Amino acid sequence: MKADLMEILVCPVCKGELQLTVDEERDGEIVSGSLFCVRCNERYPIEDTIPNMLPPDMRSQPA
Amino acid sequence: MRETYTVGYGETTQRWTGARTAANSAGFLLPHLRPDMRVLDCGCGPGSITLGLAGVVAPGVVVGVDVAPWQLARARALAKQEGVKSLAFAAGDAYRLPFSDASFDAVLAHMLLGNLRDPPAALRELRRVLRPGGVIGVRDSDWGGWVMEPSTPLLEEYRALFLRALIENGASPFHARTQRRLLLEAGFARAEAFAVAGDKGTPALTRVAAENLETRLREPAVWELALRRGWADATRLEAMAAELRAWAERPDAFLLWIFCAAVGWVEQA
Repeated sequence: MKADLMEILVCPVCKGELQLTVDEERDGEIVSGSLFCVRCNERYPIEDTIPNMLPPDMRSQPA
Repeated sequence: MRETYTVGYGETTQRWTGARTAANSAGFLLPHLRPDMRVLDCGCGPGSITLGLAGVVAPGVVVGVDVAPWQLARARALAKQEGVKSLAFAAGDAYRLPFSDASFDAVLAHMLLGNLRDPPAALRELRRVLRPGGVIGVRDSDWGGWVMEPSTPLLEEYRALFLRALIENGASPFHARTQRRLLLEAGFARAEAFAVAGDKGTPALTRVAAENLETRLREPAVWELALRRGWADATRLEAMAAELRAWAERPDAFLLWIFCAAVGWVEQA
Protein backbone atom coordinates (compact mmCIF):
# COMPACT_ATOMS: atom_id res chain seq x y z
CA MET A 1 0.00 0.00 0.00
CA LYS A 2 0.95 3.60 -0.50
CA ALA A 3 1.17 5.78 2.60
CA ASP A 4 -1.62 8.07 1.35
CA LEU A 5 -4.15 5.26 1.93
CA MET A 6 -3.76 6.27 5.59
CA GLU A 7 -6.05 9.22 4.76
CA ILE A 8 -9.04 6.85 4.80
CA LEU A 9 -7.90 3.70 6.65
CA VAL A 10 -9.32 3.17 10.14
CA CYS A 11 -9.72 0.25 12.50
CA PRO A 12 -12.56 -1.93 11.10
CA VAL A 13 -13.90 -2.57 14.60
CA CYS A 14 -13.87 0.81 16.42
CA LYS A 15 -13.27 3.03 13.33
CA GLY A 16 -10.50 4.71 15.30
CA GLU A 17 -7.19 6.01 13.99
CA LEU A 18 -4.35 3.63 13.17
CA GLN A 19 -0.60 3.95 13.76
CA LEU A 20 1.52 2.91 10.79
CA THR A 21 4.75 0.96 11.24
CA VAL A 22 6.81 0.40 8.10
CA ASP A 23 9.15 -2.61 8.05
CA GLU A 24 9.97 -2.54 4.35
CA GLU A 25 9.33 0.04 1.67
CA ARG A 26 10.06 -0.26 -2.06
CA ASP A 27 9.32 2.16 -4.94
CA GLY A 28 7.14 4.36 -2.75
CA GLU A 29 5.07 1.41 -1.61
CA ILE A 30 4.91 -0.13 1.85
CA VAL A 31 5.70 -3.80 1.33
CA SER A 32 5.46 -4.96 4.92
CA GLY A 33 4.63 -3.47 8.28
CA SER A 34 1.56 -3.08 10.39
CA LEU A 35 -1.30 -0.83 11.41
CA PHE A 36 -1.96 -0.59 15.12
CA CYS A 37 -5.22 0.41 16.77
CA VAL A 38 -4.44 1.81 20.21
CA ARG A 39 -8.04 1.70 21.37
CA CYS A 40 -8.54 -2.01 20.50
CA ASN A 41 -4.88 -2.91 21.17
CA GLU A 42 -5.00 -4.75 17.85
CA ARG A 43 -2.34 -4.99 15.14
CA TYR A 44 -3.28 -5.36 11.48
CA PRO A 45 -0.45 -6.76 9.35
CA ILE A 46 0.67 -5.41 5.97
CA GLU A 47 1.97 -8.36 3.97
CA ASP A 48 3.27 -8.22 0.41
CA THR A 49 1.94 -4.62 0.13
CA ILE A 50 -1.62 -5.58 1.14
CA PRO A 51 -2.99 -4.53 4.53
CA ASN A 52 -5.05 -7.26 6.13
CA MET A 53 -7.87 -5.26 7.69
CA LEU A 54 -10.08 -8.24 8.49
CA PRO A 55 -11.40 -7.99 12.05
CA PRO A 56 -9.45 -10.28 14.40
CA ASP A 57 -12.24 -12.87 14.56
CA MET A 58 -11.99 -13.39 10.78
CA ARG A 59 -8.27 -13.13 10.25
CA SER A 60 -6.95 -16.47 11.48
CA GLN A 61 -9.30 -18.60 9.41
CA PRO A 62 -8.31 -19.73 5.92
CA ALA A 63 -10.24 -18.05 3.10
CA MET B 1 -17.88 -14.31 11.70
CA ARG B 2 -16.79 -15.55 8.30
CA GLU B 3 -19.64 -16.46 5.96
CA THR B 4 -19.53 -19.28 3.42
CA TYR B 5 -18.80 -18.41 -0.21
CA THR B 6 -20.83 -21.25 -1.71
CA VAL B 7 -19.59 -20.90 -5.29
CA GLY B 8 -16.03 -21.28 -4.01
CA TYR B 9 -12.73 -20.79 -5.81
CA GLY B 10 -12.60 -23.74 -8.23
CA GLU B 11 -10.39 -23.19 -11.26
CA THR B 12 -13.27 -22.80 -13.73
CA THR B 13 -15.06 -20.53 -11.26
CA GLN B 14 -11.97 -18.32 -11.02
CA ARG B 15 -11.71 -18.23 -14.81
CA TRP B 16 -15.28 -16.96 -14.79
CA THR B 17 -14.84 -14.39 -12.00
CA GLY B 18 -11.59 -13.22 -13.62
CA ALA B 19 -13.28 -12.69 -17.01
CA ARG B 20 -15.54 -10.00 -15.60
CA THR B 21 -14.74 -6.49 -16.78
CA ALA B 22 -15.96 -3.04 -15.83
CA ALA B 23 -17.70 -2.86 -19.21
CA ASN B 24 -19.52 -6.21 -19.03
CA SER B 25 -20.27 -6.17 -15.29
CA ALA B 26 -20.42 -2.56 -14.15
CA GLY B 27 -21.59 -0.78 -17.30
CA PHE B 28 -24.66 0.50 -15.43
CA LEU B 29 -22.42 2.41 -13.00
CA LEU B 30 -19.84 3.79 -15.45
CA PRO B 31 -21.93 6.81 -16.61
CA HIS B 32 -21.87 8.03 -12.99
CA LEU B 33 -18.08 7.86 -12.61
CA ARG B 34 -15.76 10.78 -13.34
CA PRO B 35 -11.99 11.19 -13.47
CA ASP B 36 -10.45 11.86 -10.07
CA MET B 37 -13.16 10.08 -8.09
CA ARG B 38 -12.11 7.72 -5.30
CA VAL B 39 -13.93 4.41 -5.73
CA LEU B 40 -14.40 1.34 -3.54
CA ASP B 41 -14.80 -2.03 -5.28
CA CYS B 42 -16.17 -4.16 -2.45
CA GLY B 43 -15.85 -7.89 -3.10
CA CYS B 44 -13.34 -7.26 -5.88
CA GLY B 45 -12.09 -10.86 -6.11
CA PRO B 46 -9.31 -11.25 -8.69
CA GLY B 47 -9.57 -7.57 -9.63
CA SER B 48 -10.49 -7.55 -13.32
CA ILE B 49 -13.39 -5.13 -12.75
CA THR B 50 -11.32 -3.06 -10.32
CA LEU B 51 -8.71 -2.46 -13.04
CA GLY B 52 -11.34 -1.26 -15.49
CA LEU B 53 -12.79 1.15 -12.93
CA ALA B 54 -9.29 2.53 -12.33
CA GLY B 55 -9.06 3.32 -16.03
CA VAL B 56 -12.30 5.31 -15.85
CA VAL B 57 -11.54 7.40 -12.75
CA ALA B 58 -7.75 7.86 -13.13
CA PRO B 59 -5.96 9.70 -11.64
CA GLY B 60 -8.52 8.90 -8.91
CA VAL B 61 -7.76 5.75 -6.95
CA VAL B 62 -9.86 2.59 -6.86
CA VAL B 63 -9.60 0.56 -3.67
CA GLY B 64 -10.36 -3.15 -4.03
CA VAL B 65 -11.53 -4.94 -0.91
CA ASP B 66 -12.09 -8.66 -0.54
CA VAL B 67 -12.48 -11.09 2.32
CA ALA B 68 -9.92 -13.46 0.71
CA PRO B 69 -6.39 -12.00 0.92
CA TRP B 70 -5.03 -14.40 -1.68
CA GLN B 71 -7.58 -13.16 -4.22
CA LEU B 72 -6.10 -9.70 -3.64
CA ALA B 73 -2.61 -11.04 -4.36
CA ARG B 74 -3.97 -12.16 -7.75
CA ALA B 75 -5.58 -8.76 -8.27
CA ARG B 76 -2.34 -7.00 -7.44
CA ALA B 77 -0.38 -9.22 -9.83
CA LEU B 78 -2.91 -8.41 -12.58
CA ALA B 79 -2.57 -4.67 -11.88
CA LYS B 80 1.21 -4.94 -12.08
CA GLN B 81 1.01 -6.88 -15.33
CA GLU B 82 -1.30 -4.26 -16.87
CA GLY B 83 0.76 -1.38 -15.48
CA VAL B 84 -2.22 0.19 -13.63
CA LYS B 85 -0.95 2.27 -10.73
CA SER B 86 -4.00 4.08 -9.37
CA LEU B 87 -5.14 1.04 -7.39
CA ALA B 88 -5.02 -0.01 -3.76
CA PHE B 89 -6.09 -3.24 -2.12
CA ALA B 90 -7.05 -4.23 1.40
CA ALA B 91 -8.46 -7.41 2.90
CA GLY B 92 -11.65 -6.54 4.72
CA ASP B 93 -15.13 -7.49 5.85
CA ALA B 94 -18.06 -5.87 4.03
CA TYR B 95 -19.92 -5.49 7.35
CA ARG B 96 -16.98 -3.80 9.07
CA LEU B 97 -15.05 -1.81 6.48
CA PRO B 98 -11.67 -0.33 7.49
CA PHE B 99 -12.50 3.14 6.13
CA SER B 100 -13.61 6.34 7.79
CA ASP B 101 -17.04 7.82 7.05
CA ALA B 102 -17.47 9.54 3.67
CA SER B 103 -14.20 8.17 2.25
CA PHE B 104 -15.46 7.42 -1.27
CA ASP B 105 -17.21 9.15 -4.16
CA ALA B 106 -18.52 5.85 -5.51
CA VAL B 107 -18.87 2.21 -4.50
CA LEU B 108 -19.37 -0.94 -6.55
CA ALA B 109 -20.58 -4.19 -4.98
CA HIS B 110 -20.69 -6.74 -7.80
CA MET B 111 -21.95 -10.22 -6.91
CA LEU B 112 -21.28 -9.49 -3.26
CA LEU B 113 -24.63 -9.07 -1.53
CA GLY B 114 -26.08 -12.33 -2.86
CA ASN B 115 -23.35 -14.21 -1.01
CA LEU B 116 -24.06 -12.48 2.28
CA ARG B 117 -26.44 -13.44 5.04
CA ASP B 118 -27.45 -9.83 5.73
CA PRO B 119 -27.39 -7.64 2.58
CA PRO B 120 -29.12 -4.68 4.35
CA ALA B 121 -26.36 -4.50 6.99
CA ALA B 122 -23.68 -4.52 4.30
CA LEU B 123 -25.51 -1.77 2.39
CA ARG B 124 -25.67 0.42 5.48
CA GLU B 125 -21.91 -0.01 5.93
CA LEU B 126 -21.26 0.79 2.26
CA ARG B 127 -23.40 3.91 2.60
CA ARG B 128 -21.40 4.98 5.65
CA VAL B 129 -18.17 5.14 3.62
CA LEU B 130 -19.79 7.17 0.80
CA ARG B 131 -19.64 10.97 0.85
CA PRO B 132 -22.82 13.07 0.61
CA GLY B 133 -23.94 12.90 -3.01
CA GLY B 134 -21.93 9.71 -3.51
CA VAL B 135 -23.17 6.88 -5.72
CA ILE B 136 -23.36 3.12 -5.25
CA GLY B 137 -23.82 0.39 -7.86
CA VAL B 138 -24.89 -3.13 -6.88
CA ARG B 139 -25.32 -6.09 -9.21
CA ASP B 140 -26.27 -9.68 -8.49
CA SER B 141 -28.06 -12.56 -10.13
CA ASP B 142 -31.54 -13.42 -8.89
CA TRP B 143 -32.27 -17.12 -8.67
CA GLY B 144 -35.89 -16.56 -9.72
CA GLY B 145 -34.68 -15.91 -13.26
CA TRP B 146 -32.89 -19.24 -13.65
CA VAL B 147 -34.12 -21.33 -16.63
CA MET B 148 -32.40 -24.45 -17.93
CA GLU B 149 -33.86 -26.00 -21.05
CA PRO B 150 -34.63 -28.70 -21.86
CA SER B 151 -35.11 -29.57 -18.24
CA THR B 152 -34.99 -33.05 -16.76
CA PRO B 153 -35.87 -34.35 -13.28
CA LEU B 154 -32.14 -34.67 -12.46
CA LEU B 155 -31.42 -31.10 -13.56
CA GLU B 156 -34.34 -29.91 -11.45
CA GLU B 157 -32.91 -31.87 -8.55
CA TYR B 158 -29.50 -30.26 -9.12
CA ARG B 159 -31.06 -26.79 -9.16
CA ALA B 160 -33.01 -27.45 -5.95
CA LEU B 161 -29.98 -28.92 -4.22
CA PHE B 162 -27.69 -26.03 -5.13
CA LEU B 163 -30.29 -23.51 -4.02
CA ARG B 164 -30.72 -25.38 -0.75
CA ALA B 165 -26.93 -25.24 -0.22
CA LEU B 166 -26.90 -21.49 -0.91
CA ILE B 167 -29.63 -20.89 1.65
CA GLU B 168 -28.09 -23.27 4.20
CA ASN B 169 -24.76 -21.43 3.75
CA GLY B 170 -26.44 -18.11 4.46
CA ALA B 171 -26.58 -16.66 0.95
CA SER B 172 -29.43 -14.42 -0.27
CA PRO B 173 -30.26 -15.87 -3.70
CA PHE B 174 -33.52 -13.96 -4.18
CA HIS B 175 -32.48 -10.56 -2.83
CA ALA B 176 -31.45 -9.04 -6.17
CA ARG B 177 -35.02 -8.20 -7.25
CA THR B 178 -35.34 -6.08 -4.10
CA GLN B 179 -32.10 -4.10 -4.56
CA ARG B 180 -33.92 -0.84 -5.24
CA ARG B 181 -35.94 -1.16 -2.04
CA LEU B 182 -32.91 -2.32 -0.06
CA LEU B 183 -30.97 0.76 -1.14
CA LEU B 184 -33.77 3.05 0.00
CA GLU B 185 -34.11 1.18 3.29
CA ALA B 186 -30.34 1.48 3.81
CA GLY B 187 -30.75 5.25 3.70
CA PHE B 188 -29.97 6.12 0.10
CA ALA B 189 -31.98 9.15 -1.00
CA ARG B 190 -33.04 7.64 -4.34
CA ALA B 191 -32.41 4.53 -6.37
CA GLU B 192 -32.84 3.17 -9.89
CA ALA B 193 -32.93 -0.50 -10.86
CA PHE B 194 -32.17 -2.44 -14.03
CA ALA B 195 -31.97 -6.02 -15.26
CA VAL B 196 -30.11 -7.85 -17.95
CA ALA B 197 -30.27 -11.49 -18.99
CA GLY B 198 -27.34 -13.86 -19.07
CA ASP B 199 -27.61 -16.60 -21.65
CA LYS B 200 -25.77 -19.66 -22.95
CA GLY B 201 -27.18 -21.08 -26.14
CA THR B 202 -24.31 -22.18 -28.38
CA PRO B 203 -22.36 -25.47 -28.16
CA ALA B 204 -19.23 -23.74 -26.85
CA LEU B 205 -21.14 -21.70 -24.26
CA THR B 206 -23.36 -24.51 -22.95
CA ARG B 207 -20.18 -26.55 -22.37
CA VAL B 208 -18.63 -23.66 -20.43
CA ALA B 209 -21.85 -23.31 -18.43
CA ALA B 210 -22.02 -27.02 -17.61
CA GLU B 211 -18.36 -27.02 -16.57
CA ASN B 212 -18.99 -24.05 -14.25
CA LEU B 213 -22.10 -25.64 -12.78
CA GLU B 214 -20.34 -28.94 -12.20
CA THR B 215 -17.37 -27.19 -10.56
CA ARG B 216 -19.75 -25.43 -8.19
CA LEU B 217 -21.59 -28.68 -7.46
CA ARG B 218 -18.25 -30.24 -6.46
CA GLU B 219 -17.42 -27.43 -4.03
CA PRO B 220 -17.23 -28.84 -0.48
CA ALA B 221 -19.78 -26.21 0.58
CA VAL B 222 -22.26 -27.97 -1.71
CA TRP B 223 -21.09 -31.57 -2.24
CA GLU B 224 -19.97 -32.34 1.31
CA LEU B 225 -22.92 -30.45 2.75
CA ALA B 226 -25.36 -32.47 0.63
CA LEU B 227 -23.78 -35.73 1.81
CA ARG B 228 -23.71 -34.61 5.43
CA ARG B 229 -27.33 -33.51 5.39
CA GLY B 230 -28.41 -36.61 3.49
CA TRP B 231 -29.88 -34.54 0.62
CA ALA B 232 -28.26 -36.93 -1.87
CA ASP B 233 -25.65 -39.69 -1.84
CA ALA B 234 -22.45 -39.56 -3.90
CA THR B 235 -23.97 -41.71 -6.67
CA ARG B 236 -26.85 -39.30 -7.01
CA LEU B 237 -24.53 -36.28 -7.06
CA GLU B 238 -22.38 -37.94 -9.75
CA ALA B 239 -25.56 -38.57 -11.73
CA MET B 240 -26.38 -34.84 -11.53
CA ALA B 241 -22.88 -33.97 -12.74
CA ALA B 242 -23.24 -36.42 -15.64
CA GLU B 243 -26.65 -34.93 -16.47
CA LEU B 244 -25.11 -31.44 -16.64
CA ARG B 245 -22.47 -32.72 -19.09
CA ALA B 246 -25.12 -34.51 -21.16
CA TRP B 247 -27.24 -31.35 -21.21
CA ALA B 248 -24.30 -29.32 -22.54
CA GLU B 249 -24.00 -31.62 -25.58
CA ARG B 250 -27.66 -31.28 -26.57
CA PRO B 251 -28.13 -29.21 -29.74
CA ASP B 252 -31.15 -27.51 -28.12
CA ALA B 253 -29.57 -26.74 -24.73
CA PHE B 254 -30.29 -23.23 -23.43
CA LEU B 255 -29.49 -21.58 -20.12
CA LEU B 256 -30.95 -18.25 -19.05
CA TRP B 257 -30.55 -16.24 -15.87
CA ILE B 258 -31.15 -12.70 -14.71
CA PHE B 259 -28.82 -10.09 -13.32
CA CYS B 260 -30.42 -7.28 -11.38
CA ALA B 261 -28.51 -4.07 -10.88
CA ALA B 262 -29.31 -0.88 -9.01
CA VAL B 263 -27.77 2.54 -8.53
CA GLY B 264 -28.34 4.56 -5.39
CA TRP B 265 -27.40 8.07 -4.34
CA VAL B 266 -26.56 9.41 -0.92
CA GLU B 267 -28.34 12.68 -0.12
CA GLN B 268 -26.34 15.79 -1.01
CA ALA B 269 -24.94 17.67 1.99
